[in-house]
Amino acid sequence: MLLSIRWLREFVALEVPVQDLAHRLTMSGFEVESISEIGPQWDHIIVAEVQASAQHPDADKLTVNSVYTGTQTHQVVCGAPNVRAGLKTALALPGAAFPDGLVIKRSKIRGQASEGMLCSSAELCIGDPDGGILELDGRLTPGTLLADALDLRDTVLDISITPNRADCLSVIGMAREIAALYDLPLQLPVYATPQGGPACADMIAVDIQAPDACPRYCAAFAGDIIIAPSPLWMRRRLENCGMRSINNIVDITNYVLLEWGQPLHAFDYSLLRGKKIVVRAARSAERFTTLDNTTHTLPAGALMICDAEQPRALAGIMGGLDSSITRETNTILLESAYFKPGSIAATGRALGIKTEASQRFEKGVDINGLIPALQRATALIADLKAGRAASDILDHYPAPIEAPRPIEVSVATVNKTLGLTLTAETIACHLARLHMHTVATGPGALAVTPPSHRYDIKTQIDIIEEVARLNGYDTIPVTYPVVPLCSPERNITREVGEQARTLLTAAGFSEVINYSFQDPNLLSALRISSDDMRSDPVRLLNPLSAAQSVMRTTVLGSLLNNLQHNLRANRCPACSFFEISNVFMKTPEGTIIEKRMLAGLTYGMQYTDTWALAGRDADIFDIKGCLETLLNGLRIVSYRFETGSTEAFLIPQSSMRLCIGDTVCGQCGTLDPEIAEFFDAASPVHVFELDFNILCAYYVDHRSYTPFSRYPAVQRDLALVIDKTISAADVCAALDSFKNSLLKQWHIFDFYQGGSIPAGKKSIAFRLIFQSDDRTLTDAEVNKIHDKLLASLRVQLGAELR
Amino acid sequence: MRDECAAIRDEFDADLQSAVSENDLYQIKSKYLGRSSRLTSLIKSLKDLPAEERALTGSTANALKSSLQREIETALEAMRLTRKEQAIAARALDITLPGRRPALGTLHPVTRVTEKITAIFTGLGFSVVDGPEIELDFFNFEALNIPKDHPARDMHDTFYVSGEQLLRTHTSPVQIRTMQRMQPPLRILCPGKVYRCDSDISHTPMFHQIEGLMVDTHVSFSDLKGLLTILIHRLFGQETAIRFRPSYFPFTEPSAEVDIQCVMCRGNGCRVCSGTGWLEILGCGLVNPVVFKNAGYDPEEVTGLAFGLGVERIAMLTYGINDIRLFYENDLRFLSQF
Repeated sequence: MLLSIRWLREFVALEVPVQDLAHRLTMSGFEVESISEIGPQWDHIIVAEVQASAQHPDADKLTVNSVYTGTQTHQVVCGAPNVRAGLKTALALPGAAFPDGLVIKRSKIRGQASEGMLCSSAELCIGDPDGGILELDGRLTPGTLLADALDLRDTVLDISITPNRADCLSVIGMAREIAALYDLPLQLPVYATPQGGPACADMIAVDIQAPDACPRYCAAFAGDIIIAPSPLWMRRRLENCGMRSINNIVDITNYVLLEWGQPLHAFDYSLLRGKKIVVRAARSAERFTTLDNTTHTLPAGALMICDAEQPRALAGIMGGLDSSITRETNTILLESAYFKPGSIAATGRALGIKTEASQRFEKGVDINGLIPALQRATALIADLKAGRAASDILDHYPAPIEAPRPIEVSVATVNKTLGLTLTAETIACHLARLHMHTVATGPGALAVTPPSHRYDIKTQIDIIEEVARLNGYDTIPVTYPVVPLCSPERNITREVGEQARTLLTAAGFSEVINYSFQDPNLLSALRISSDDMRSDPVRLLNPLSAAQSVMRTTVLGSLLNNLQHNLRANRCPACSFFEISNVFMKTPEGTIIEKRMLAGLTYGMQYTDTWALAGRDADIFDIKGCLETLLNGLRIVSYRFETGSTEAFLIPQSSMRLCIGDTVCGQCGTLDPEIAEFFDAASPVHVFELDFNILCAYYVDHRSYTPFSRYPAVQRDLALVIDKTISAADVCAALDSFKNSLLKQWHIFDFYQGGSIPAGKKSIAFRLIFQSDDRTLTDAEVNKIHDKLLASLRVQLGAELR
Repeated sequence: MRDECAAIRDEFDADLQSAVSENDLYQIKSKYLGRSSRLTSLIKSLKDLPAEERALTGSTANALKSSLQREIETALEAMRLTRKEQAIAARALDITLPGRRPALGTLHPVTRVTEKITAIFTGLGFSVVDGPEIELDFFNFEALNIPKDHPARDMHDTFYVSGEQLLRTHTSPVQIRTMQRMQPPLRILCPGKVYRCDSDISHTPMFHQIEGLMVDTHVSFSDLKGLLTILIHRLFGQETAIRFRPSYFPFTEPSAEVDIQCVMCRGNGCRVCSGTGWLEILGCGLVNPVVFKNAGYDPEEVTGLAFGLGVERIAMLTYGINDIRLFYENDLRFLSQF
């Protein structure tokens, strides 16, 4: 909210510097977001008197003027028709800067020197465009700064008001709060009662058909209205507070709204039919055109202000187009009503309309503030000579809302909650400043009655917060909680997450985090088929864009986007990414499941070309090896890779399923080159995506020691030639099934095909380690096992020694 | 006999002179000091000499022996040193070449900050709990004292999935879920993704929060100040000034916003802190009794504190990141810096 300091000072005699006020407000829950000085923008603009005005020798529409500014005379070229000798106006001197970027300089206009610019009110942003230059009061002294001459200076605070403090969305609301903070009196002026206006009873009857949504409706009238611009001081105040000046009547309603926080609405009385105001809920699919010339289909229950025949305003939100004030308006009905917050909020949200009025109603206005606001408005109508206002106010309040009940407050609870040691007197004193009435009901017990504008105060904790605020949060000491020691609950998902991240970053993968929403087109780009659960993502009802309209069902799409970004933006030769995030699935029954996934991608040069190592493109064994390292690091033992993946986006011959125990944990493989190309990748992209919860389920935290043999190990190499159709996994399985306790370990150290190996064959070489736990093995012993193994492989696989 | 010694010495000197390898030296050693060397035989035969001559010749022979030993050792040492120097020179490495570096990935800055904060609170006995990202209106709003049409819903631009399901706008619903599951006392920390339909230079539609909740029989506002002081001092240093100012959250009361002295300008006022010298860092408060009631706790029996902070904000301040959108672009030039 924008708060004018000069306006504020009408209600509280505050002498402190504005910086002090801003700090005090911020520290009591009213964060001051900025402080703006009004005035410096007119720093080079002064009052000037035109002494002589003559036709420009070389331009029909220009004049050359002699302008006096108190100590000297300037020659100024001007194009305004109303410039004339004797006129007092505003002169922008060289150096003056305007909001549109224009900076005044000494210049020559068609050969004539011009030492400034005579300004219109539009150029000075102090009024409506009226064509000519400003015509100032003849009593003003030439040479005076315009800001001082017209009393334009002010300071405006931009204050963030929390939703619970709607009572402070007005100058008087803030004045009341500031008076409490500085312990100063609030000075509310008493307005003279206007005389002679029309009497309400003869003019209108009010019928509230929705008393729950509108418990009180007040109105006043003013006749003989003369629609005119508002005076400068009022226009300036409205503009400084972010409102546009329209005309005197609309400006008065806005002025009262800003000052009292009570929205008013002015109807052209002559346009209301049947001398009747009906407050009712909208009928189903009722349509209404608001004064901004927008036609809305109203949601059921939207509150309408109608005359005897038709709706005239969207209650508390916006007036109707065909009952608004015009230049012809003669008599106005000023509405000051109380509308229930929920009703206005629901309608405003449904229609997407937010106005100064609706924002106040939906947070709540003071039900006792309706009449003072009308009194202020009628007084202003009289002051501004905008019409003849009536002293008579119509007040339709069939079931007055009960006055707030006292709240029981225990001094001990206040102190225990805050960590303070306040006395009952201090508490009562703080509360009194907030207009809360306190009665001692016993030792350490108070009964506190909040004022009607503090409808946010309902329970003891609300009172405690007010005490803390007035006493100052900075007076509360810093203590440390004293609680019993306890063992935190284990979170396996987080533990495994941390380990997986450590392992993967050590393997050269960088962690990424992507938005959980994605472009639905990504699913077809990945060829996710329509019978796949992932093809039917959870859709957002109100997405920011189509590209962020569904929840992810796979993390891979995002990783591919990341790859594409890095290829395009920084032409990276290689990248390896991983992400641990949730995806969102819909079951056939429509339930949403969140599944944590671990996805990874590797692309490009595995070793950047250096003097020591030759770079090469990543292949499928890089990503497989990375997964093997991950699984080994997590001590997951029961895993195996099964050939072939079910993912249509992977190359079938270069993909596999990772199974742990009996479950498929995920898939990994090389991306189909067409899809890779779609993401701008020129060389192969290898990816994996695993169900993270399965990793967690098989994760082994436990470590145990197995004694190792201290006898020498014997190493033998075994190079086999087998049919190409036999896979390495088949050979490994055969080795696994060869039960001999002396064969301790083995691994594949060479793989070869072509060259000297016959067509249709390949060679796999194993390094075997033989070792006994209780003796040194002899060559003869090892030879025997080795021969037996070879014989067995011959029989099982038709393997031959190379 | 002494002539014999002189002869050995001369011969030895000549041999030593012509030795070119360590092997030569070993052979010389064996020749002159070995069991069957002349000098050894000579020393062995000393016992046959008359006592007078034995003493004289003995000392000459023994002196010769130790002198030869020493000279051979010295020559050997010199020879070894030369060999080592020659070997080093032969390899002639330019060790200023860079080493072979195994590729090393990096953690996302959001993860780094989350882990740092999590470590602080697990050290204080807090459990880390998770909750769903697609939430029910009840847990995200209703139970947290934000009924339908409450003006505070304006503070949360919510993505909806259906009438009752939404993308959680904060991590606070995990408070309710945990209280429904566990009995007090409890101390929990809930990090995670949250969503608001807001996207501009300073907002991303998804970001990360960390929620903390502590429920016990006597938790006061001064305890809240203490706990968060620990957090801020651990994150930004012991000398960081902190201020608590009143604010409003429907689920806490009294509520506060916590500012720290600007980490960029040390409180002098700069662009980052909009000239105020202070940076808003988190929201907190004592748990509103209504929330306890909604979660099934007796507000007469328990008190609690809660706080929530934005991870990206802390990361931006800690690492000097000037644009929140960088977190989700995942550009390697950004990621590799953490």
